[in-house]
Amino acid sequence: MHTLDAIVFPYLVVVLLWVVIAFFVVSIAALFVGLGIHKRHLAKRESNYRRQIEAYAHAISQFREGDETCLPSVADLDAACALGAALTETFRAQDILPQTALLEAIRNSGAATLVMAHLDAKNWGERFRVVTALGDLRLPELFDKLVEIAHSEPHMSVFGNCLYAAANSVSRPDQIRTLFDLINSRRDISAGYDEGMFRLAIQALRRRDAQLEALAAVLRLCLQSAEADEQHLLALVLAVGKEQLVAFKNDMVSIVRSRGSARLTAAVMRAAHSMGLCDSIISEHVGSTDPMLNIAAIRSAECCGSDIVPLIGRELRSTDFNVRYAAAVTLSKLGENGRNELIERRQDSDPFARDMAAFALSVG
Amino acid sequence: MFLSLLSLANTLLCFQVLVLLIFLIINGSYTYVTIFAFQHLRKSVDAKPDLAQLLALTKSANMRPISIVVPAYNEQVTILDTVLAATRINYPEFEILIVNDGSTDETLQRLIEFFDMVPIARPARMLVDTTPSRGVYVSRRNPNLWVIDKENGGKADALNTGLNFSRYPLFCAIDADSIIDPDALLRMGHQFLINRELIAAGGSVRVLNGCVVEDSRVTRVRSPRSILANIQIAEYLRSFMAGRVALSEYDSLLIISGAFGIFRKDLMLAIGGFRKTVGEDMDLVLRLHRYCVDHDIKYKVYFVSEPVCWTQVPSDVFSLLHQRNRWQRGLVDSIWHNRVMLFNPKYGKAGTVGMPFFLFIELFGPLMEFIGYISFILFFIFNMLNPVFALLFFMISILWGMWLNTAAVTLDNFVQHKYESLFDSYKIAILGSFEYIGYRQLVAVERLISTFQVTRTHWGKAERKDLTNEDKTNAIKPWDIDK
Repeated sequence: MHTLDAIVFPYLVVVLLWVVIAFFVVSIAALFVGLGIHKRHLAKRESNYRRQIEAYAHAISQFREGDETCLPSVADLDAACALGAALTETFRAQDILPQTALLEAIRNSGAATLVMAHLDAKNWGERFRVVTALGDLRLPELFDKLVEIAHSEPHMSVFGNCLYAAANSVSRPDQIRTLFDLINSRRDISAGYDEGMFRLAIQALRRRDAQLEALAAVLRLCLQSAEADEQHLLALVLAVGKEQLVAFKNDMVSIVRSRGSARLTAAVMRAAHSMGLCDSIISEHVGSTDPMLNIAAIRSAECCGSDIVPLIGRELRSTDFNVRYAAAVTLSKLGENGRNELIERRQDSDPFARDMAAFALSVG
Repeated sequence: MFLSLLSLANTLLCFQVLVLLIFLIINGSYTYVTIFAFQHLRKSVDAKPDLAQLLALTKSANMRPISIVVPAYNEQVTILDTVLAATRINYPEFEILIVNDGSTDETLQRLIEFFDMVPIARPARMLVDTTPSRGVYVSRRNPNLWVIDKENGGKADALNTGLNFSRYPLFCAIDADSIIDPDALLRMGHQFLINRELIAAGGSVRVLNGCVVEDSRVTRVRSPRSILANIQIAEYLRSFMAGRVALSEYDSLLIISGAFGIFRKDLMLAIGGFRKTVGEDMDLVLRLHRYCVDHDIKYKVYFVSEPVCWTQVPSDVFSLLHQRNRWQRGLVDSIWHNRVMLFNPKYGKAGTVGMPFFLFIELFGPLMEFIGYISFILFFIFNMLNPVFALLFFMISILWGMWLNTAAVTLDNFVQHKYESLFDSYKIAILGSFEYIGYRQLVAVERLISTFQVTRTHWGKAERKDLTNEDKTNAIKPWDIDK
């Protein structure tokens, strides 16, 4: 005689399995439909966004002072982001600033307020988008807000984005000092972005025709700061070099000499090289026992003319391959004198020097 | 007699329950991992760093220079495309070291001719033991492009040679049949910039089959025609978009693909470089975990979902089985060599979550699967199978697999949407489900066999196909791009 459970149980199992199958079929179908809907939604959203950007870009190009109404209204976060993107597309390519009247119109549009309402979003991706939009709006008064956000932002990518946006909003030389203090106060998180940030800030000041004298005073203060992280000082020196702040070279050299740091000295030599200038600090360090300083000096010697050629030639005999290689490459860039030195070194008694000279000559 | 039959029946019943449980654990783990990865990735959906912004912030002396090492053994068909793609990388400072591991074909000659290379006496510090080098060449047009010709010693040995010759603090290994996206290294290097504890990072590897490659760049992402390749795409998506994202977020990432990974060189040297095993990539990551924990170094091993390296997957069954055989041997050897980590709380989640996951799900998975198939057949022969139950169970297993594939494709579309057409995404999800009809069984058997061949260290050689089918004679050379 069958008991009830022996009859019911197999049926229950079969029913349960069918339920599981139904669940999978439905959820697979849902995923398929969801995939299609998501793809369409994404395409639609992107095309809408693109259309908004184009509309704003058109309005910006047609903008005339006294006609603030021609800028389309900003209704939501998407629109504010589109306005920011349009401003970036228009002004980044031309490397110019929006005119004051346009900035006023952007201010009056309320886009910044709309964007800031989303600053406390839980997803870091959304905060990233919000900060991007704030930076894109190009309103100089947002600098302080961006620095404030950066002080408390836990996510590294959003923090980097804040630095980018803040650096682009710099309108006064003293704000570089604010940025310098910001990265020094957040050593845990600020690694790496400093050089790019300083360069962007200097470029922003240039666009605003800031007085370079005032900038030099701020940079001097930063470099002399006793509590500053050496990494950030190094970044500042390299940024000054890459941004060709030629007038600041001598100051920079003397400050760095007084600090006596090998890394900073190497950075100053690289900065001088970026500016296309020579300085006695370079010839002093060719042949240094510290390979890092030696290589930095050799690489920077390109701008020092023919006087430095014999010094570099001697380095072809170095026991360090990287030093020899740097010397060969630099000599090949030092014109006729460098070439003559290489030809001479092809007969050197040192086989490494001969080999490296032959290689440099073959590269031409 | 009756009692012994009863006990046999009980044993079989227990066995059935066990198989069912293992099935639930394996599929349940994959499902959990997929949902976990989705939860994590959705947070970053809106964060789309503009490349110009990334460049402005990162193109500086702070970006740690990278030595890209490409080990090559008989790679004459693909090597030029791989190196051409590598020379076009967008990164402040890097060198490319191609290590010709005693190739018997024209790999070396092609490199010398195409990149205009000359011999140079470049000594290396023998920090890790390798087979002797026969010569070093440098490109006359691109002084950052080097070829080291050495005697054959295997992939790990070639990578160690690259390690000895490398000058820079970060070490990037890429396969010689892969194409790296121009911005992939920048996005990976960026992670090392913002995270001081990062010691190793793996990038997303995608399947190249079916894609359009022009001028050594992937210009259109499409799914291939072959079912085999589509199945592997689904596998890659599951593995990279779900598995590695989740394991990385859970601090238990134990593998970084040999096709594309970046490591801190000082730590690699500290652990003696790559160990000579067929699973050198996983083994390296495991030993890095061990070294950092043993020496109280705060560290992070991270998977970056966006950077992309495109690689060819086997297009024939023989090459596929060969590859899976090698992977399984590598897995067994790596886990055995680093068994001290298993369930060891000292190694944190890597020891208590990552290692058991790889041991039970990845290593024992094929064994369990094989036992399941055998028992299915035996039960059927001895008439001990409830046909309705068996059929429904089989349907569930296929549907669950299909769900996992579709979820991985959806996840990929949600985050990266690389595949342009919806049709391609559907194709991968549907064709990927054919995995359960023949493919999975075949791979499970091969992996099971390879588990017992762990002493074999033979690397083997997969058939390579030209990545572009273009004649390279008139290809644009890297030094002509700037003109």
